[in-house]
Amino acid sequence: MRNIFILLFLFLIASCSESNSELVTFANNFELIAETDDAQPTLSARIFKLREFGECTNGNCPKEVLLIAVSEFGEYPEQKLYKTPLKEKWEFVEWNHIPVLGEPHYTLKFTLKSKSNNKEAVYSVNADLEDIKYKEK
Amino acid sequence: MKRNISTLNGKITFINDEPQNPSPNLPVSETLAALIEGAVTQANLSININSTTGGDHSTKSFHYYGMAIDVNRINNKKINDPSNMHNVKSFQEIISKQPDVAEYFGPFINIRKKGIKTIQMHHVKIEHLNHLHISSQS
Repeated sequence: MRNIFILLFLFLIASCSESNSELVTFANNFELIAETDDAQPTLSARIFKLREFGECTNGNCPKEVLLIAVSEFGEYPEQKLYKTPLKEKWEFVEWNHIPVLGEPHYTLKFTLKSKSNNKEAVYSVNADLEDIKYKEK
Repeated sequence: MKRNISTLNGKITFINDEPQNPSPNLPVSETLAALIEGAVTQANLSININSTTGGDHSTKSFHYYGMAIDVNRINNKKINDPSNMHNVKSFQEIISKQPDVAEYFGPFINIRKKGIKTIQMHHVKIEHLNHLHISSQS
């Protein structure tokens, strides 16, 4: 009887492996490159970077993508996740505006930099719970 | 600007569910304090606040910013006491009309206000049958 319980316990532990491959990739590989300080409960954001697997071949390198997680505050907050296009390189530059309490509409403003085909681009980004907009500087 | 909510001569009490834990009488936002004091005065009921900035809440909860409280008793009776239904309903109705309320969850009304927009959140009622959760917009 004791052995049956041990086997059942081991089976339950083995069954706890996550099967969602996107979540497995996220948990193992995403790098947190920026987050708001949450000094005021308006909008918060976390920016994660993921690099494709593999090595550079003939000048062709694995690409990068940013995932931008935006959340309001509260017991049941509305949350969004935005994804940038794939580029050779992505960088977070700075927060330009984190909303403060009392503003009529909360929008996060920040700057990103990308590199593709040896061309650099700088974007000013506006993100809220409805949309994200990139404007090349 | 934060301050303690007035006891209004005993109409508002701060008794923790766990007597050995600290009192929930802690500073909250001016907006929330005024909202609660005004509603208690208007309703002419007594309430017990069992959580302000302490307790376990969602990661993004307004509790951690002194912008939310939980109420577990009205007129010294539990929120889920059937004989207290009229008082709970009456208090919920008064709070729901306050312009500064952000979240308001309980047995009868479950709403989330964002500016002038009000969102019905009936699905959270089941988690608020024994207490009221009230948060303010600032």
